[in-house]
Amino acid sequence: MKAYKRFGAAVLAAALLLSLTAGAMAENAGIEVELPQGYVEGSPLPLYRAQERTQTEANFFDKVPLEWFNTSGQAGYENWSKRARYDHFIFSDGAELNIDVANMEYRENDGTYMMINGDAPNEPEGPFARENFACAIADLGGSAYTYSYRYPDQKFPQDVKLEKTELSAITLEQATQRVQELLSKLGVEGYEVSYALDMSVEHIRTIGEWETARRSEYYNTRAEGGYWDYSKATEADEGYYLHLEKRMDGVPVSYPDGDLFTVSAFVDGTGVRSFRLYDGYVIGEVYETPERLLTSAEILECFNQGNARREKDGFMQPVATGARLMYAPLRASNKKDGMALTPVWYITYDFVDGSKCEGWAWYSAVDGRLVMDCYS
Amino acid sequence: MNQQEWKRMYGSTPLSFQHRVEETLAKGRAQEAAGKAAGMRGVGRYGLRTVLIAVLLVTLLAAAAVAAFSSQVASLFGWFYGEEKGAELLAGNLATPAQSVTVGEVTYTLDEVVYIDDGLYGLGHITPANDGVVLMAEDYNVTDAAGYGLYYGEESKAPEGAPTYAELAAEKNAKIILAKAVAEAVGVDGGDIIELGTAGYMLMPQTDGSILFTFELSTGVAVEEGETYAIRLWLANWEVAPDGQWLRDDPNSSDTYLGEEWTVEVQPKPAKEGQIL
Repeated sequence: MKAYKRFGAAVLAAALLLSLTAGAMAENAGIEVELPQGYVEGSPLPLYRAQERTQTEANFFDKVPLEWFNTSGQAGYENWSKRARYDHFIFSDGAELNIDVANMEYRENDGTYMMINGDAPNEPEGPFARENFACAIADLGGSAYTYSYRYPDQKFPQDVKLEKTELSAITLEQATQRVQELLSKLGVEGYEVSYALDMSVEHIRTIGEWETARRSEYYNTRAEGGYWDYSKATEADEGYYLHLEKRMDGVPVSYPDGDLFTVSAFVDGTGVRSFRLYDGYVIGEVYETPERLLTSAEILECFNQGNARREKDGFMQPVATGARLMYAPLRASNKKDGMALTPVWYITYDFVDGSKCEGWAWYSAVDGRLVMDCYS
Repeated sequence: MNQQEWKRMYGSTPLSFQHRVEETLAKGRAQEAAGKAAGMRGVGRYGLRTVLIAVLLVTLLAAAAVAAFSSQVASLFGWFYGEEKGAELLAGNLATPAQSVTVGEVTYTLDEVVYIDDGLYGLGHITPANDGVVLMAEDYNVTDAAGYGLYYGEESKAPEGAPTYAELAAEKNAKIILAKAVAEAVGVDGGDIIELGTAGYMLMPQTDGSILFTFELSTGVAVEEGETYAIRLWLANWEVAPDGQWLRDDPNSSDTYLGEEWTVEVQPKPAKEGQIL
């Protein structure tokens, strides 16, 4: 069975992160419960109307002046979609901006490289656009986010953490402000920094060395003319890598079936050098407010009732380990009303499938309905 | 509606599935013969009678089940995931839209959709709209034996000397068209048609020249329990040159790519004793 994926590898969207602005943590029968700051379990939260961005509705097309990203001028355009529209703009200095219905990506380039496959060294592929040094540093920030924060890897240098809130050309506050200003111009609201790393000369060199070693360990390919020498980084290259998540009334917003609400950027003294946005839904006015929400204890009862089904599907001995209150777009109570941003409980659990594994499940906090489980 | 009517509505059981069942039966016959040759050691007279009665009971029950209800979706996914899944699907809510649409020279037909609590399962077939077309599925090459699977344990089923897609097309003076159908979005009870984050699908060549397509759409944001479903599929096809080159995306050749969204509304109902209630 093939899997057609729309949102890339982020099925565990929900492996969502302990935000820098995280709410309260509590314990419920040994289970870690995470609540928004000031929220009392069971109290109501409103549901908001939510409009999916599509080819015809609420998309980013024709709303983004290219100068917001790069002032070198437009050198080219392609529609990358065979069936509809996916804008690919090329700037005069080689930078690129891709705009799809719900996401956009900006990156800068510097020259080209050829890819050499170790199995066929005489058949180089390319040329491909080579990212410039700023974007290569942005990728290092992405590696740090992935391997030290989201999916921690013991091999990643453990001392790489946010150290400096001021670099020679920019501060963390200024970098955050620049990203927020860009998001504001794009009409995207509610994003807050959940991970930040100063890409200082020391961090660029440390992560660069680790990433270079990882690359040669895992890939039997070589990018001729494509790799940068990170040991040559100077203060002029420094900036901040930022990862942002969406919140609504202080509650994290996510999506059970993919990563629909994320922003990442690298900002240095000259501006935003690398930018990725995925904002799948536009949130509207209040749709309805239930009298109360189900508590984590009530949802854990629902979870335990579903364990027979989990075991039937080979997810043996499931035991809940965590509960996090979040928002996610679900169908409105009257389905003809479309989608509604709805409070949900994101449950993490351990199960046995030969060895100990980690699972997850999403439940509506309004009626306790199982929305999605990793077994399905 | 009896089994014959079901069959007319559906067409036959997927050919690759039939082959597999036949092979299993043949294997069973061979093992039975081997058992006889070995003198059925360990089974005494009483034991043998018990076994025969048990076999008879199982056969009667199976016959009754087939007479009661038959589902291509249950058969196929039961083969893929195991008997338990097949039984679960057999007890699910079923719709048989049998709706077709033609895109260029290729006709797509959605035969059957089943809803169970973990999602929507569907099956259909893709056929040439005229004699001048040889269909090829995704992930196959013009040098593969036409109409035979290469995946899901179906490898090497092609008989010696079976013509390849390129040879068959040359023989029929036909063009080779690569065709696919993938479910991509679902609406429930008149609500928004929501894109699926992930959708499972299979495309399996059949010896009659058609391609069997399936989809498996897990319960989640887009798919939830309801009475009616609007399933949107993306249908696409393009020509493949006899040397295997796809005639699309290459500025130096003609672009034969055709694609169309197709939304099918279905209303799965419980099925019982050969009737849709």
